[in-house]
Amino acid sequence: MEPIIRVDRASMAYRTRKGITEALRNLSLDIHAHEILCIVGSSGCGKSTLLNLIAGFVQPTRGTIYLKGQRVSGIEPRCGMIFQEYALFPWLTVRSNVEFGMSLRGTDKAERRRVTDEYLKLVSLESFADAYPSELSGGMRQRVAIARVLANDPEVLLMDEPLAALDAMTRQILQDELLRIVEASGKTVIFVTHSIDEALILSDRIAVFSSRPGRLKMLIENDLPRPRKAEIQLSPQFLALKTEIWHAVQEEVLAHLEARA
Amino acid sequence: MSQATEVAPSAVARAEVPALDDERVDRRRRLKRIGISTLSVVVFVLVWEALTASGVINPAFFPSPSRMTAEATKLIASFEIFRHIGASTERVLIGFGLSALVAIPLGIALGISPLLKAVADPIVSIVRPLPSLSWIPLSILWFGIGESQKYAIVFMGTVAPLLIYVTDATLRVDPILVKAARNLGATQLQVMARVILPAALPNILTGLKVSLALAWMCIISAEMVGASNGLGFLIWNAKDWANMPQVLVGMVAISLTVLVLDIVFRTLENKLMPWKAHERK
Repeated sequence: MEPIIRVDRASMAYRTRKGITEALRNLSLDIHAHEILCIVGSSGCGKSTLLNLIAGFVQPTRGTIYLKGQRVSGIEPRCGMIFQEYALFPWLTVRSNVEFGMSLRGTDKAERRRVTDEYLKLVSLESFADAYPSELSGGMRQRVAIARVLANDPEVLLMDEPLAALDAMTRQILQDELLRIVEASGKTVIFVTHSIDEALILSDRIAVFSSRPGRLKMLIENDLPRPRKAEIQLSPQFLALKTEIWHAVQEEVLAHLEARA
Repeated sequence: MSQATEVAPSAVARAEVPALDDERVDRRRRLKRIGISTLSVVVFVLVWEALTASGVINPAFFPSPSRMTAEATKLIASFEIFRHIGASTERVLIGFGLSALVAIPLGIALGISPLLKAVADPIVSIVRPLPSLSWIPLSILWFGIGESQKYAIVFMGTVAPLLIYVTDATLRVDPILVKAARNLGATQLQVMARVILPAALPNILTGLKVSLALAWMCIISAEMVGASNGLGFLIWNAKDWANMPQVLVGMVAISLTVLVLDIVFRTLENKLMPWKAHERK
């Protein structure tokens, strides 16, 4: 089967005040349709850079990104991005935020309303349609952001540490919620996180990135049985996978710390 | 006041607090505040009256409140004061309206394009420090002493500061909002109209409020130098006739007019930015 996204020998370097920073080096990675791929790695391993490349915000200095066989050469709305900071428009109500993408394309009003209602229901926020983002808690805001992207009907969801700004409890609840929403939508998901637990609960596959410059260090199938509840974190299978990943990540974190020292 | 306006962290938490009690406490505090403020004015006027009546202050230099009231009644009865207020307000609104018409689009353009900003920056920095009074000779030469000269003074006195406010407001728009909109499929033009403009609006309105106050300073001084009506003229003319009560009435009229305009402006602000209404609460 042809992958929905193919990252082909992509490298990315930025010019900064301190010289040239190499964020990604010669990265190749195939993402299959309808899978949830989690990317784990220490900070500064180029995880976010990869998402920016796939969304077409920046172009790789070398190599190519393909979406369904076509080269990504500009901003790509078929890859919907979900940000850690939610990035909701504070001057729009929840409903208008979710409708934003459709209103840009001039979708007619009735259709807009139908789709918006559908996704607000999916994220359980029907009763907050007329609220402004500032009236909502962090977890609710992130659910609005997810509904906004889903209503735009992308092929792929790019999630850049979407739960990182939430407290531990909310985070746990939203993980379950996210899994339910993503499964219901049937979208392909690339999910960046530095929590191994989060990656194990959500993913079909996990890619471990090495520290700067980012390279693919390890790619493992996560065959933990679904549906996965919080209890799965106590199973021996979970702990074995976690240990394996942790060893890979640990080396990289240490390397990263030494590089900075 | 800040304790009274603290916002509950989430809608859920707010719903748990009975709203009625909150409102009742709020209203009692507000009434108390209004009461104290009123008392403050009354005491101030009484002390002032006492000081002039007893001769501690010479009424020739600083007339008593009762003399001012008499003068104000006269000016109100003859409708003269409203004529002057109207003339000044009209000049401010036209001059300032022109200034906003130029500064808002231009400021947004400067905030978006680093190239344009580099072109405009030196010119703006030269114009900005000039007090509006320094434009009076040139503006009289160009426009005479008619109405257009007054508009020009207000325009020149406000356009540079307003431009800086608008540029700054545009620069301060969170880039992640632009990124999110582009990701949802917005074109550059759509980003400008539907993200940058509303996102910068709160700071643009603050800029408008500050420069509106500047516009008043400009027009009062311009009217003192060359005009046959307006509040600036009223005050300057009264001084020539040694009519101190009228000078003071003119000054109070400026305060009150600006206050009223400020209230109008704030209402407009709430209308334009409904999402800010509960943030302020």
